Amino acid sequence: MKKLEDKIINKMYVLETKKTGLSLITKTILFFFFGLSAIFLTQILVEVFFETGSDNVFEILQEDWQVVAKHGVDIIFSLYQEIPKPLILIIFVSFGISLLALLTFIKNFGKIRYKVIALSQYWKKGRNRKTT
Amino acid sequence: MTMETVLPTDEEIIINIRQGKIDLYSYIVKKYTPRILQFISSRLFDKLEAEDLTQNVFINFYKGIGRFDEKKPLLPYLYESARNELKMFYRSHKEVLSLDEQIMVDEQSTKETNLIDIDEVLKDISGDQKKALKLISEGYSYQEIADKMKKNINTVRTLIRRARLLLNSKKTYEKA
Repeated sequence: MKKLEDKIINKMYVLETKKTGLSLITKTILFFFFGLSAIFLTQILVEVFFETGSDNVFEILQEDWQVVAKHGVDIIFSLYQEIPKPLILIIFVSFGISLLALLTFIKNFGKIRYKVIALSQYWKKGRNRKTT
Repeated sequence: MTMETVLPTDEEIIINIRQGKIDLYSYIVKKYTPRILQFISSRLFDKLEAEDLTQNVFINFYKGIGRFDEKKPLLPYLYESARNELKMFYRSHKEVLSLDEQIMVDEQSTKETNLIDIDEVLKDISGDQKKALKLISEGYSYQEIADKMKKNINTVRTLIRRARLLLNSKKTYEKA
């Protein structure tokens, strides 16, 4: 009977190791890949902004606040016209995915921690059993 | 003076497993493996297959532990899972017989057998006997049935024995 119980528990740990490992790897890849992509694309956006001379839109901010308030809507409208919209969308989506991966990890941090501790203790015990 | 170790309940164990304390699953395995194995072994005479099916029951339960209502008793759920495993096993190991005309002719010529309607049989069984029969078919032990029905264990044994005798005494009829 003990052999069967050990087999069941071993299968359970194998299953959980694969599941937890895959989950951690997926979240890590999503976070870093999309996070770095968003940063890289933001850099490109800023370069595009300066190359096309769109940065001169902000010169009006040096004026009095009354002038800024009067022409504020026009500034925003012209900015919207000039920025590359697909790029902005991709940046937002990338940041969103990266943030989601991070928040999910933080939310489940306690659970993941217990699982990792239990898994490492089990496999360490297993290795010690084999070497003795 | 000895201190009694208070074992956690199934509900507490399941809640803790969901929170990540997966090492507690061994309590459930050690507690219920003998019963599930005995249940499957009594219906399947191959020891190795019985052990495989028992493993499947516990692994499937572990995979679905997030959806299980921890307030419900665990044992009937495991028994139900074991029954489903047995059904799938029998379906996958069904022997396929070749169609033989002679068999068909023989079947047509045999007299029809008519089994007694089960409701009619159960009508003759008292409420307590019916309840005890139902619980034993769901996999509860005699002690558990005695606790549920608030009766002595010997009373429960007698109720089940009498119900079975009554069922056995009903014969199948053959129509001419």
